[in-house]
Amino acid sequence: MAFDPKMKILIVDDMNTMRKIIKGMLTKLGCDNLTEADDGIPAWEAIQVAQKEGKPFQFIISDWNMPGMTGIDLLKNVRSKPEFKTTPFLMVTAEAEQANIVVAVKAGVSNYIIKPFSPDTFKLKLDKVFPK
Amino acid sequence: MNVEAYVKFSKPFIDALKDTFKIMLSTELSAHSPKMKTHNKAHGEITAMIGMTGTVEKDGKVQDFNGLIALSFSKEVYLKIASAMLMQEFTDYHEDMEDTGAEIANIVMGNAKKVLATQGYKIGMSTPTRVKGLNHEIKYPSNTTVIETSMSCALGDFVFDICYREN
Repeated sequence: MAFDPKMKILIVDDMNTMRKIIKGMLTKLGCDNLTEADDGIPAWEAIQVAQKEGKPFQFIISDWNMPGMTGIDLLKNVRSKPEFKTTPFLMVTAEAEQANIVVAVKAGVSNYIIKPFSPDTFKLKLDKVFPK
Repeated sequence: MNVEAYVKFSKPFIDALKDTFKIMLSTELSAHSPKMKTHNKAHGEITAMIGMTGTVEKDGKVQDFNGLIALSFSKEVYLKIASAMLMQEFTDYHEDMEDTGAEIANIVMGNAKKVLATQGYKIGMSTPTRVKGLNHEIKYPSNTTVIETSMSCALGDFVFDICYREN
């Protein structure tokens, strides 16, 4: 699937600053159908509600470390449902340890990005999630 | 911890802070000489901090340790840093920038954690927090050694504290 700026995107992070940064980078790429969630719990609810309403999220970008439901648990929930098996999922993390990355790959992450990152790196990751 | 061990322990934090400013704020950060801090007063109006606990293996012995990193900014410098990081010009304090300092602390800790793991440290990170107000104090964990380093960049100066204790 190619990257479409019109796609419905969910940004999940407990830190408002990182949500705004990602939102800003996506907006500069022409995206305008953006939804924010401040933890994995409301994100998982939003994902299921959107599916029921027939307007599922087409791309999920989630932080790893969140107090309620972590990004890895959100990813596992998402991949546990057949309808979300192929939903692109980009994990954002400040903990660049190899063990974390292996866990995320095993859980079915589409790709991951390590903080700090520039808009150029973010775009490169999007290109990997959505190869042309 | 002796001076040599401190320098080795603190380098990943300083490097991560410099990388964060270079990559996400497009500015080069320079560190001045570190010095021992003997009081709890913050050098600024806004402090972001994150704690750490864990174990370190040295010479076959495993020891517990704990500590904290703290970034203290004047309001003026915080506004400039938040504006650069959020790619939006702020002229006064705004709720959108509440956790900008905490996010920087979080990124610095996460990146330093990876490097320190290669030196035998297993670090658990706490949730980053923020304190705001004139003449506020920083609650360093008890009996830790606090080293403060003044940092400078085009956006202004601020102070970076690293505190640490092996138990």
